[in-house]
Amino acid sequence: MSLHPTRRDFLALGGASAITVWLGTDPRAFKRALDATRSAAEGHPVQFEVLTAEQAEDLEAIAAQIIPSDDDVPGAREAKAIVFIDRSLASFASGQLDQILEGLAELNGRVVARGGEATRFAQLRADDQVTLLIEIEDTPFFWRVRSSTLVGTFAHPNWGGNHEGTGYEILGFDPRFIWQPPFGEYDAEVRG
Amino acid sequence: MRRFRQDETVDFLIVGSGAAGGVMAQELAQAGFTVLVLEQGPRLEAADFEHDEYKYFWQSSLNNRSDLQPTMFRAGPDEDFRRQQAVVYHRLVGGGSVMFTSNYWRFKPIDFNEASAMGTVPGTGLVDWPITYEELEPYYTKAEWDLGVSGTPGPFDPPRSRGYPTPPLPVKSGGVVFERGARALGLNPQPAPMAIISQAYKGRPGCLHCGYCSGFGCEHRAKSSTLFTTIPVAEATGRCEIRTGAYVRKVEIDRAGRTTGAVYFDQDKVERFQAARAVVLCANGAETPRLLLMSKSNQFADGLANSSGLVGKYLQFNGNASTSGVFEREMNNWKSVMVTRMIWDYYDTDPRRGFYGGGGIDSRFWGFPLFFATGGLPPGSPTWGHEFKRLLRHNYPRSMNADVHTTSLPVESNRIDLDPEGVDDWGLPMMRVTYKDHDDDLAIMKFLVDKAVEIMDAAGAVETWKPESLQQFVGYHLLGTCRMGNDATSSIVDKYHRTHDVRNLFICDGSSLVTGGRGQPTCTIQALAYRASEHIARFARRSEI
Repeated sequence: MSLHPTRRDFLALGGASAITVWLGTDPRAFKRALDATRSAAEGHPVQFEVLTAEQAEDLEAIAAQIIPSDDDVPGAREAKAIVFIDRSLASFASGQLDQILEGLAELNGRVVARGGEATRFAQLRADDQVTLLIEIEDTPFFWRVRSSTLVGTFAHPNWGGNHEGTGYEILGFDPRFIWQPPFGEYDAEVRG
Repeated sequence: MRRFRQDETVDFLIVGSGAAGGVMAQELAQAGFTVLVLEQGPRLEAADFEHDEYKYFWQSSLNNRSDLQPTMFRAGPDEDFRRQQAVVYHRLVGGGSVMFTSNYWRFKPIDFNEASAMGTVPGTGLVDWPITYEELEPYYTKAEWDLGVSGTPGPFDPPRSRGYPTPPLPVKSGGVVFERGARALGLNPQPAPMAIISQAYKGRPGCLHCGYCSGFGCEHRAKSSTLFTTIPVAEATGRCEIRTGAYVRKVEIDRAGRTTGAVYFDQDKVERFQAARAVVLCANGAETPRLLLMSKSNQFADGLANSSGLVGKYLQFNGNASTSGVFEREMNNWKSVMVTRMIWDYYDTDPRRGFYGGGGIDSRFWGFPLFFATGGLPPGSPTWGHEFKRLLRHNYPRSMNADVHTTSLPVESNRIDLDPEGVDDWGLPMMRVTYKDHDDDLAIMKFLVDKAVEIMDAAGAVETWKPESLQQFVGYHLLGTCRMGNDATSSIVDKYHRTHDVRNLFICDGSSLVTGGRGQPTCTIQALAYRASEHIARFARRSEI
């Protein structure tokens, strides 16, 4: 199956991970999630709704390895993808909460099994985090966190993530929404 | 806008306010008739539309939702049905005309008589239309000039009595390289005709190139949807009401076999009856046959207007596949309209290819940020980490797609019908969809997918790739399920869109199409609506309904 989602295979590609997850929800839950995440995006203190501070820290650390922060380009952490993840788990994606928490507990079990001082994923050094994630990168837990991280980073800021357009900055997308040609280098060349 | 009393009998009750229903409402209201349009979805204004792909694509906030209106699907008559979203259509005033990409291709003369010109294809229902291109041409022109279309005639255009009302939209970088590659291969690229005005037209501003067309409503009103064109004109007559949140469950019939109106659920799910002297179904190629099948009665035990047994059959999705390419320099194809260049060199069936079918290829970009992040990188790319992020950042401004749009053969077993057990959120029978692309449909898709990649390679792409599987299992173009024809035993409506079985029941939407053209049906659906409304108004004036 193509990795590129056309309109037509979008539903099937995303079908398992997106449609069935996101559609079976109460629109009022979306509204509550939107209100909460807008509040967070506007700079109010983040009050996690379902995650403990430690769970949020661990999940954010995973998100920050999925889309890392570099010296000059921010990543999922700066996008506040964790805000989207928490709010969605508190509302329209509440059915995923158990799987996420169980997966996180299993991951932290691996951290403990390694020995050393760290007892949670977020406490590991970055290279050790990567090593652990490679171990679990084919699990449903990892793909669910990855999916939420991408939504929390690149979806419209309405949803709580993509803080201050971080996801747009990563791609080089400019959300001004009004343009005139030339749009790119090739059409500029033709236009002279 | 006129508000009819609940007990008032209107001249025409139209089910659906989309590409066809919106045109039908204007034309019948302007002709002097009272018109009530029942629309499932809400009414949005330009300022209500957002650039929120998660809301529209992931949450399905403006299309049929799989939790509320579930469908059953099977990939062919030999398979078992499974619950899966198999059709997608938009639920709002203006329907798909608000949210579509806005490709606005006319059909060509061959689309109307291909069976007699090229020969039939065994095992299929490929037949000629009861009308010709020449009969429809004035209405193509009327649609283009009434609604507002941008473009310029190209080398393979069908004969046209008039040019386009606005010039082509400015070419994007993806269009430039597509044109370069196509010319290198000896092909004939041309500006794509789009139902998006490139400059001010009939009180609406030209496109401001926000980049959010396909799957989004236009906040500038530059997309020529019925929401911003015909529906306001219809309402301004004082004879038309658009009633939202109205989900029709049955077309009612009296003892004489004439329709008396329709029963619908209002926005509070309260059942109501609306009386009408005639009913016009414009509910799309999936919901129109479903409504007919739900409208059983003693007189019409197999569903309304279904004496032929063909309601819901010959479903055609059109073939569609997307290929991808990455180029060296920045193209920024996320700006402006989806499509600016296309080719029609492979439009006609060529017997030398060994299979039926043809189509077109366009240059575009599925570049909404979340879309790209979740599926825009080449196969085998890293899926997380520094290299994933680097590739996203590098490829995003340098990527394009070349999409192919092709024929679907009308096959009787491809159909819409009713699930005998499952119900939707209103308690109505769930829609069932059986669909399997004909071998020739897959062959023409593969042929054009390979050509699309060749074009990008010839243009100097650094990397290209194509989909592995072409079989389709969800439909956006919902065509052919109540086909036109002169023979009541092999079609549902006559050449004037009147059902063969019920004198005051008409159908005009994607279901009316006999064949689906080459993948862009909206222009033809709307031309048919202009033509049908003229005839229906004539019948009404002569008391021939």
